[in-house]
Amino acid sequence: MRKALARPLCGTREMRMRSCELRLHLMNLNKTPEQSFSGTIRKIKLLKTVKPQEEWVALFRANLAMRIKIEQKRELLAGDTAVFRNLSLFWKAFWRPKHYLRVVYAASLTVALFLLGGGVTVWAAMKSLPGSAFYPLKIVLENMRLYATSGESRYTLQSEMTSRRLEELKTVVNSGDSLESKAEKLETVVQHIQQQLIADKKQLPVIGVGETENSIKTIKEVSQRAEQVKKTINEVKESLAVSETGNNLNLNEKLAEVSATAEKTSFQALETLIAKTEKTDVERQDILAKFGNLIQEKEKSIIVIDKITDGKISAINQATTTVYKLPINAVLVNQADEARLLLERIENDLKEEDFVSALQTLRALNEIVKGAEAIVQNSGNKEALIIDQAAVNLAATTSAETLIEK
Amino acid sequence: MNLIKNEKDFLQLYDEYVEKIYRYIFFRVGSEELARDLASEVFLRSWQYINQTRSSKLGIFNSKNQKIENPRAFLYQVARNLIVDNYRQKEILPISLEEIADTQIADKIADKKNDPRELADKSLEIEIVKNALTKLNEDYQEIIIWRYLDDLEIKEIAEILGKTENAVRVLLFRALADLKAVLKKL
Repeated sequence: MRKALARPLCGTREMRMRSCELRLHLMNLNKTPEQSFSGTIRKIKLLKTVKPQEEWVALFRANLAMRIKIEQKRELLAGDTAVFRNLSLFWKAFWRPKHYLRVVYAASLTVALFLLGGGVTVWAAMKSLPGSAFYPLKIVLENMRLYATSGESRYTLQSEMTSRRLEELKTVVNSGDSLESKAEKLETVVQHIQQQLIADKKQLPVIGVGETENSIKTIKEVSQRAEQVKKTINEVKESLAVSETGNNLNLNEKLAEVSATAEKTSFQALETLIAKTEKTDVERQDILAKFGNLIQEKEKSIIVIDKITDGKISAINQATTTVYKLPINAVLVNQADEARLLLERIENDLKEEDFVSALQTLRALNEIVKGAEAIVQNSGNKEALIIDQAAVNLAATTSAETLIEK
Repeated sequence: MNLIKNEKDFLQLYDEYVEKIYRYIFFRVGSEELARDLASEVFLRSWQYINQTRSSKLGIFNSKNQKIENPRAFLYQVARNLIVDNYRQKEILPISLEEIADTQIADKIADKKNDPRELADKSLEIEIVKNALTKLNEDYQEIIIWRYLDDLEIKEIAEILGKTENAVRVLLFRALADLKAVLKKL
């Protein structure tokens, strides 16, 4: 059989060569492309790192959501058709505006929105809450206003926008809506908070590029907003932990994502502040205060882990005295010990004002604490996370204050 | 894949595919700005089309009363058509590497915190692969982007191109062989 295959049917050299190529081709066809071209495919997959700007993705999403809602409410918005024609003209010019026209575009559109019968619509939009048909319009209007603002006013506006989102988050959590509706609205707000955090992170000055008074102010503003977001998200998580809405996996993932982004932003802001070559006493105090806040959070988490490994968790509802016990997890005990060692190291670094080393150690501590929290989360016992929060806060505050004072 | 039943589903589709659609368009047209414009247009037009067919209260049907069973493939078809329309309007050929600044790829690499040397090496390798990709014909470029960057199945690619699955496999094989040959020369 082999001899028969080896001998071509025709005698010429060209025909023999074509026959060999055909056999080779047929052999390759028995292999998948992944087998035949693994090296080439690996190189192609490098191109997966090409991505669009996150800001554009977020802004266009808001625009798309708004357009979808508007089409649904077309009858209500019939008087604003001229306004939305201007919006599309504005949108087409958005990526190529001349600098001096930016404010003109934004201002004229805002005026047009009010004067062309959209006054009620815009008012309704600005008062709207997540879940309302006008909410996407509210977001777009805020972003447009931000786009046209610069300098000090921009910082103020950004802080206002963050505060507004966090207020909306609390309003939804405390509302009497159905669980499904609440979860959906929370997801919407959390997504917008995430987008704001990403935009904030991008504003942080690049280390070593050149420090100005403005860049220091930006760092502090961004850091403050990130802290505000973390605090509110933690409060929301605690509120939701006792309710059925807290079982919504998608919502929990989004809350975790926002928390993680806020934390990264805090760390990045601190890193940028530390990188400033000359520090005044006030700036050193600022850095120590920021370390204090971050350390306090980690302290709380370590206390929770300690309580869990001790097997002593009491229900937050004082009406019951159910005690929840988890089997002692050797890994958790080890991680808690490791975390305490790192806290000591941070304390020493801060005493010597070695902020860079302290930050590196704090990042390592953060990873250990996150790992431990993930183990507890995955244990499936949600009730184990409901603890005597007041006691934890007091213990953490006392400990962190002692650390900084030393 | 679930049908698009409502606006929430469509926005989820957006979240899932905006990066892929943008990337596909970017590699075809070579301009970040144009890729954003066309990607935006893809989703706007897709929504308008779906919304019009929904209002007929027959579900998600196209003008031939056929269900859009694969919204992902539909998005790519819309993107493809827009790219072709764009070329016709502007009489622009697929952009060559010389027209693309070196910084474009480096800027778009998501993680800028890499070691600068690693980043430079990565950028160079990416640039080489992109250069090679642009030297292929359009059909080969598309099939490589869809299969290995956007992780489309052979069946989905066949649906977009209107070919059989076997024809797509052969096309893919030839595209990879071509790309390998071009990479060897570079």
